[in-house]
Amino acid sequence: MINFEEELKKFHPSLEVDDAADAIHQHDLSDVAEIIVGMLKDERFRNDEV
Amino acid sequence: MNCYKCGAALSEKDFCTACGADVSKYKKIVYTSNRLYNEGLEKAGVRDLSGAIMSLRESLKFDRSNVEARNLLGLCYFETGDVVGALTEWVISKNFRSKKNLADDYIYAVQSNPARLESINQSIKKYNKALMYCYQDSKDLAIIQLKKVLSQNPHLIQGHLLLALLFLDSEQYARAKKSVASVLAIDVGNTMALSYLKYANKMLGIEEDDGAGAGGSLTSKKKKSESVRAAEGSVTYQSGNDIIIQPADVHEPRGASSLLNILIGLIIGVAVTYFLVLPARIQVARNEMSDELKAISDNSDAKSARISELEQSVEALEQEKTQLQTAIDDYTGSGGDALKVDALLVSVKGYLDNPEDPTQIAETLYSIDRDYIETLASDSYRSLYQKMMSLVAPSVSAKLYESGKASVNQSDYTTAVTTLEEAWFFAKTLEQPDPEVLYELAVAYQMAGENDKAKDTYQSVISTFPDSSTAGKASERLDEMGDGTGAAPEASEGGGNTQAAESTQPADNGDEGGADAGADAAAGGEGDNAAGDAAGETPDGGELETTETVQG
Repeated sequence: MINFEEELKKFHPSLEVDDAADAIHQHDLSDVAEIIVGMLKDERFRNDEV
Repeated sequence: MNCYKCGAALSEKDFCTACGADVSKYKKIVYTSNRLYNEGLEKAGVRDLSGAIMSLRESLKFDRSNVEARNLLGLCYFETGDVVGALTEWVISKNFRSKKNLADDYIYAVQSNPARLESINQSIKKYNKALMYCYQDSKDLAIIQLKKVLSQNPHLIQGHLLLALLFLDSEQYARAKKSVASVLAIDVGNTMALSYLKYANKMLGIEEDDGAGAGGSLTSKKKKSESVRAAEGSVTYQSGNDIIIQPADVHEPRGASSLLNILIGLIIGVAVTYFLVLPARIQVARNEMSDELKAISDNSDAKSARISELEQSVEALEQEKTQLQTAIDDYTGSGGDALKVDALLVSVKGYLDNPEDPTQIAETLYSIDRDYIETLASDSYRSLYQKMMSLVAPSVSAKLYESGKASVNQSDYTTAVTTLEEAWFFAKTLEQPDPEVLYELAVAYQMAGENDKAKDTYQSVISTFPDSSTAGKASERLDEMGDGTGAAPEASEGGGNTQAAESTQPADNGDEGGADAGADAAAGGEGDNAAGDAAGETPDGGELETTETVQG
């Protein structure tokens, strides 16, 4: 049985064209490569300290 | 593939040949990203856009600089109606690679049609408004708004899904299936659409097919699916979006029965036309004809009246013409006034030219109509005429008397009558007319056998000149004629005839005879006056009374 209210929660307002600029600026561009690089940097830094 | 540290191109070694950084892990990350991109590409190829979007997003999570993955992700977003999401990915892709990037073409394609972009923008706004209606529990308004949105932007999957949800909520399962079918035509792997389809089929009692084939079979299946529910005397089946319920025992007529029905229908149609339509048409036609007939009749009456009027006018004009012609003839004809005037003028001229010979003048004056002189002539004309008569009458009457008398003696009584009549015509205009002229005329009448005229003339002599000797002679003559023999006695005294002498004897014998004659004349005066009027008539109609009138 479909619950209208529950299903309705899955729908969100779509971005309008005027909001495209904000959407681009707020876009999360982090990826695994950046995370791994950061982890490696932190490890190197820790090793250097040691 | 470039080094994450220095950006140099990497070789097949696990370290960067430029900076010596360990790139083995980095390479694995990039390979994973590429693999996920390939999966996304494969799913997009079979229109599983939802799966492709998931794979591509995973790919970008591993390597955000994967431009191909980002471009394809934007493309999938655009196909699902998320234009802003697509533009976002393409712009970011362009930032990662500004040259030789497909994102340039995609962005240009969208921006080069501003009207279409604006239409899409409006559809997004309306979708958001419809979603707001749903939150406010205004589901009917939401449905109306969504229909408008989807007419503008048929690729907006979220709109189709929301509409399907609303239909499911209002138990319009067939319409919900239709909306879901629209979604699955764009995105065959849409999870939400598949779940809605499953639910709708369940509610409609339709057995579902396996997995993803349900969506595909829905689109490849014929739209008309039958589900027969044997209810009490009714059969229910679905045709498109409509559910049809009809009695079970309905049999459509076929063959001969349909032909018979058609024939009956034709007969009824003909009968209706004949009894209902035709009389009205006939009546209309009759009315038109009667109107035309009436108009023609009115026109004919008007023309007849006009013709009568013109005929009367013609008749009046003919009469007037006749009158005018008569008047003209009276004036210009042989007996016309113009000739009468001309005759008088001729006589005047003749007298002026030769007053010694009034004979021709006399002829002219004698020919003028006495009636004209008495009634129609002007006073001046009459005066002139009388003047001329007074000038020529004495000599003319004497000459004519002599001539007439000579004719009597020569037994030319016809000439004598004519001449003496003319002589008396002139003589009676004198103040003292010679009674011998009248007497001689009576004798000429008598000699010519015109006894009635003779008697009348004798009577005129007696009545006009009662004291003269001529009256006695006339009385004697009259007595002689009174025997009724009518025998023309001999010529008058101047002729030397014995009978004439005998006729004169009674006159010589006595005044008594003359007196008796006078008494007889007096006694018969009244009656003779009328006879005298008749006897006194000249050929041209002159009377003795006329003479009296002239003398008066």
